[in-house]
Amino acid sequence: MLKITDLHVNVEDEEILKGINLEINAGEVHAIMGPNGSGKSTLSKVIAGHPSYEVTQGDIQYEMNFEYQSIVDMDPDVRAKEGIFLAFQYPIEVPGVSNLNFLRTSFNSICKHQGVQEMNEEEFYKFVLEKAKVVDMDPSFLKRPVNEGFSGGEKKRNEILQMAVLSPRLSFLDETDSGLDALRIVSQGVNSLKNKNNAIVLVTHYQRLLEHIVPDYIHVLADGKIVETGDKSLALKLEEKGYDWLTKSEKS
Amino acid sequence: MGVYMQDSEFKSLLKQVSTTHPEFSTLRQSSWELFQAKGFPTRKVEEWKYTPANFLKDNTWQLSLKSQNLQTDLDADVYNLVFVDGLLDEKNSDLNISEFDVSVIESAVETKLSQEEDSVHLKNIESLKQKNKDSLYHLNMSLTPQALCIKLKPNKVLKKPLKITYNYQTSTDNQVFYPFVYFYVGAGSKAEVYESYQSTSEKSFYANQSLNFWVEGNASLSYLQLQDFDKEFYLTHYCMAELKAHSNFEAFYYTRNGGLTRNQFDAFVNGEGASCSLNGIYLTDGKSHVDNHTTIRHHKPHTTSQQTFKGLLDGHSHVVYNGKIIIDQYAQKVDSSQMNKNILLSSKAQIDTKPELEVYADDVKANHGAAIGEMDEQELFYFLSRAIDKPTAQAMLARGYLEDVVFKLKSQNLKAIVDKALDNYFRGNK
Repeated sequence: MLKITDLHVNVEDEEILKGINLEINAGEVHAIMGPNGSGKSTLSKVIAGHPSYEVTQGDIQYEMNFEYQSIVDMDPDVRAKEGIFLAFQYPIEVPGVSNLNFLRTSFNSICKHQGVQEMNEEEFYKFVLEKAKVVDMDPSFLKRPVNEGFSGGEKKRNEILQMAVLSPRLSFLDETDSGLDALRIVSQGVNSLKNKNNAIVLVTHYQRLLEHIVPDYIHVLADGKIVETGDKSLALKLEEKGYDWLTKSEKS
Repeated sequence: MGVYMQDSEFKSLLKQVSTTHPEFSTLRQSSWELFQAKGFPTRKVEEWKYTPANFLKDNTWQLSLKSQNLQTDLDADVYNLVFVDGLLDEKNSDLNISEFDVSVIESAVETKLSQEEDSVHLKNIESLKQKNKDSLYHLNMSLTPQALCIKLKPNKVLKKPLKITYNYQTSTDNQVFYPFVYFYVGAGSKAEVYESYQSTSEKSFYANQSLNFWVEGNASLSYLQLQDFDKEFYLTHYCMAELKAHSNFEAFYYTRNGGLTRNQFDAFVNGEGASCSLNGIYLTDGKSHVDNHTTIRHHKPHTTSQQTFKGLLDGHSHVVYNGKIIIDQYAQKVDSSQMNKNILLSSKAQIDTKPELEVYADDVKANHGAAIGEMDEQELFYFLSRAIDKPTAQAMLARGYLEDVVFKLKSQNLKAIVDKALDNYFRGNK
């Protein structure tokens, strides 16, 4: 579904990603781990198309209509319409726009792109109420402005609700330094939403997320490169030894 | 310094406009003298530093006294008062509403107010007049062809909003209009008033409007000025409001036009427990110029005021905001706040903002602030990442930015009008 080759990314002329290679297929759950500042958030933002991140080398190929195509020059809204989703590390508060309106505009925009019938307010409300149940969200949050005054956990829950509503093919969940409550919400969401047609990438600093979710692959990112890839046993090793043994061996 | 017309011309003009009320003629005369002493405003006057007043002198404005028989779009959900080219269009105005009495001083309209009642209102008008120092307000009072007085009786609720439509259809260039409206809200009464504009004229014109509210004890008044069209014209607009004990007054300015607008708002919070809520939004583009000058004076203790103005500035537009809160020495326990926020959508747009506080009492809550920024890139990316295209995202964010100001409008009828104007605006801009 996604093939990243030799990806180099600059932020304000500083190279953050220094040659990433990664392949993700449908039905897989990946975890990208690594110390703070290793480039984990950059990787997820560059996949979503954040304008501050400049690809200087390499490519990101994404499967659309059974064909791999580069998405490096694709606008972020088009990527989202094609099924790429980023759950934000810090979801943005948007005063004055109701959660429901935001979700419906987003949902219908994808429907339109995919040539599916859009939903009117009433239909969508029913649909979203069902999804809110799945992520255990109180319906009163739908009428409130997007994320405004939400707690950290509620914001995460809202991201997972969006994921449930939009049913993306490829999700990046940027979870660095989230609280325990948020980890629980995210892992529940992931476990209920993962299936053989989608792929989920967890980006996290903490091993404890992996107590709730069992990824197929774990990648360790350090100083802008993937320095180790393994299965869930790698997480145990990380818990025991930390990241130092990896970063040091990288330098020597 | 701009002498508008010679004294002799004024006197002959008076003969044309003046018929019945000697007391109003006295007001005219003193206003005329005041205007003559001050002349037109210039940039040297602090209050006019950022708004070019040269249009007043650079054109030869002709006072229009011709009443015209023209079509005005009437709205069934409201009571209508229609001014065509500055003169009351009696045929299209609801002058027989049981809740209120209308009196047109110095016109042929049959007055429902007695001479004595008119005198009371003329005293009120005089009291407001003495508080206004701006020469253009006085120019309006000296030259208005009619002074329209509306009295809402005590303990009445006006069932529908009163809509005042100013229909400007001048067929010659450089016409000037001076409509004057005085609206009295009797004790314990409740009303909604809004002003709206119509014009398809291609000619240049200037409207100098005066709107004077007198809100008695426990009365409640909501007012909306809705300017929602692309017509380029010059408008100087004065809103004066006297607020008695435990009255509630709210005013809202919605400004979107292509010309020059100068709104001056003065509220006198003159009774304990009175509250004044003043809010506005402006959507400027092209070369439009919008100036909101507001002053809220707290003369009595236990009074409150709140004001928020927000706007989106595009093109080469220029916005001025000058908000002043004055709290008298004896006005303790006043709670007052004001905020002005702006988003610049173009690097060529300009804002001059000055929130001011003058506090002479020592036990009050007062705060003020201003902000100027651009559209938030993080918010925009959040929307894009949710498959919402850029123009839609920008429109939703802009609308969301203004939402809290609209939300402050307590009158649901007036709020619906503003919402509809915003819907149209953002639909057109998407």
